[in-house]
Amino acid sequence: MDLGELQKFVENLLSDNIVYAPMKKEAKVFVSPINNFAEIDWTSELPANSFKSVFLPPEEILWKNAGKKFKTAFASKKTIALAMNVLDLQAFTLFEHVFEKDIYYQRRRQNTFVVGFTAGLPDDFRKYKIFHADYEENVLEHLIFDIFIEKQKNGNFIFFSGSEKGQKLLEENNVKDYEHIEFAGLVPESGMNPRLIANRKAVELSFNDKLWDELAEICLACGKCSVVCPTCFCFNLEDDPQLNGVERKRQWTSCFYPEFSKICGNKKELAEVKKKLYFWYYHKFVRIPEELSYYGCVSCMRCFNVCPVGINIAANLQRLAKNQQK
Amino acid sequence: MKTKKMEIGFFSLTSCEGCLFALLDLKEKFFALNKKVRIKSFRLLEEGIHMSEEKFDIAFVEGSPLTEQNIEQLKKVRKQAKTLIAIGSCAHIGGIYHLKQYSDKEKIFNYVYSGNVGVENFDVLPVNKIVKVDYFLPGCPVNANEFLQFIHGLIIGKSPSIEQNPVCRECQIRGYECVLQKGEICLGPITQAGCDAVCLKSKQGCWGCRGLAEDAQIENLVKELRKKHTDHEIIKVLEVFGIKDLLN
Ligand code: SF4
Ligand code: SF4
Ligand code: SF4
Ligand code: SF4
Ligand code: SF4
Repeated sequence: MDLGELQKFVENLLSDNIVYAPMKKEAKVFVSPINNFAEIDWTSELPANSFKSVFLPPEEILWKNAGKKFKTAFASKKTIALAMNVLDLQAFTLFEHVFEKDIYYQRRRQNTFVVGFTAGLPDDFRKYKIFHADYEENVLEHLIFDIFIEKQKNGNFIFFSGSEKGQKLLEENNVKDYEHIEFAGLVPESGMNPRLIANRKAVELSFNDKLWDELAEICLACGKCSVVCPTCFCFNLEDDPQLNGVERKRQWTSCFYPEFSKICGNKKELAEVKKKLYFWYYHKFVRIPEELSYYGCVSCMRCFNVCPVGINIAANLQRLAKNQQK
Repeated sequence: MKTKKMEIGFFSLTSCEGCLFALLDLKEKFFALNKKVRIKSFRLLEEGIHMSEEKFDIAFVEGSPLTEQNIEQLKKVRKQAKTLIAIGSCAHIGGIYHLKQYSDKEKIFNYVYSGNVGVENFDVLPVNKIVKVDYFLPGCPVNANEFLQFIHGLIIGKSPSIEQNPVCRECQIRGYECVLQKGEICLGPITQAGCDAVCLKSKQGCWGCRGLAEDAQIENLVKELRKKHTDHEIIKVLEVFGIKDLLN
């Protein structure tokens, strides 16, 4: 498929869906709602924000009731997450497992098509300087998507489908030339990625490492890192009384915030910054791999990019690994 | 059985009355409260200063207690109300007037007023230095939606609270450019959120009008700010809303 055909395909999608895609704004790329083909950035540069809010909005009303009436407030506009890079697809694949039984997530997901994109593999992996995994040939088999588009060196685009839903959407839009890739589970046959295992070992027993004390001397506990992180999925549920009835709201939160670990009597497990920082890494590199055999961090470096004091996750992991060998 | 409606009063001490205006800006939503509560007193909707002997279930107080009359009224309202809620930065942390406390107040007075014009020159104190306050609703002005959430909660007997997050959360969610990363002064990391990071929307650093966030990492922020700013510059920002007083 050439650029003109891709344009036609995307324009079809734009005609009756809400489309989110990477878009260039002031020298950076942001995931934004898109109105026409020309706005989309096809360089596979990592957007400053991720696609997270398409699947889990920062704030949503789950249900409300007034008197005896009870209403579930499902959003149901058909939405397309277009040109999702491989790292954000990995984060999304994690979400699909974490929110597997969450009806609110799943309802939204039913109306959402996930269209991945790469400007070339393994080049993209190199470009992203990933530290959480090594490139594996069959990377697409372990990612969840409906459609995946790969840009080839000659400028043409090849299509893959990853679900029935994706196949249907392709057929409806007269894309006949595509290959189907069956999802082969989170873990490749060859076992968990060695990088993932190594990172896990580096973090697991590191609480007494001086690194955490040093970071606690500079971290502002502002939580920008987890707000921007594509794999952070923690949320608060709150019942908001209305004049009549109640609304149940779900909102993003973070282990950096005081309410996260608060129990009665105002006691907090994560009262000190040192514990918060360690908890963050521990969740990403130990607990998630333990529970799902999958990446809790996709090395997008967004946490570093937004951090006002420059806390660098790649450098910190390296340091932990080095100290551990001592 | 019909339960008695809650009785509510709104009182103004020295202030710009912006908080009460912010509530009136809720329009129908504000007046819809009449279905559930009885609004017995609202400074902006009546003449004169309310000094009757009535009782209130909830009293909302805006402004700073600056004059003898303010202090007298505040004490009286406290006696009359089961629950007293301080609304807005003035009542919460002393507001803009508080700036006076950081300089020689006689000098400032003489600069503003020439000669003896019969104006009192009191110390600026937040409401809770004079009477017990049950809840605070921060902000300059108060966030009207937060007010609604609060009062809706109180109506059904829920003890309300506001979320304890820093402004950075709301700023980052909205994808505003981080002025702290740009090298400007911003108190967002240590300031109680709930304003939708409105100042950062216009690329103006947060000055902390909503007061300190729980577990604020003040020292670490000051360390970071000192890399690019003098103590004088930092303190000037910390003084605007009296954040300096909250540090110890
Ligand atoms: S963004 Fe940086 S300073 Fe803020 S909580 Fe995260 S690591 Fe700490
Ligand atoms: S690099 Fe940082 S922002 Fe990206 S996934 Fe890992 S922890 Fe999250
Ligand atoms: S616990 Fe912390 S690091 Fe883990 S997902 Fe939640 S916010 Fe992110
Ligand atoms: S601009 Fe201020 S409030 Fe916004 S993220 Fe940066 S430090 Fe936080
Ligand atoms: S950004 Fe800061 S100064 Fe501005 S309204 Fe919010 S809390 Fe107040």
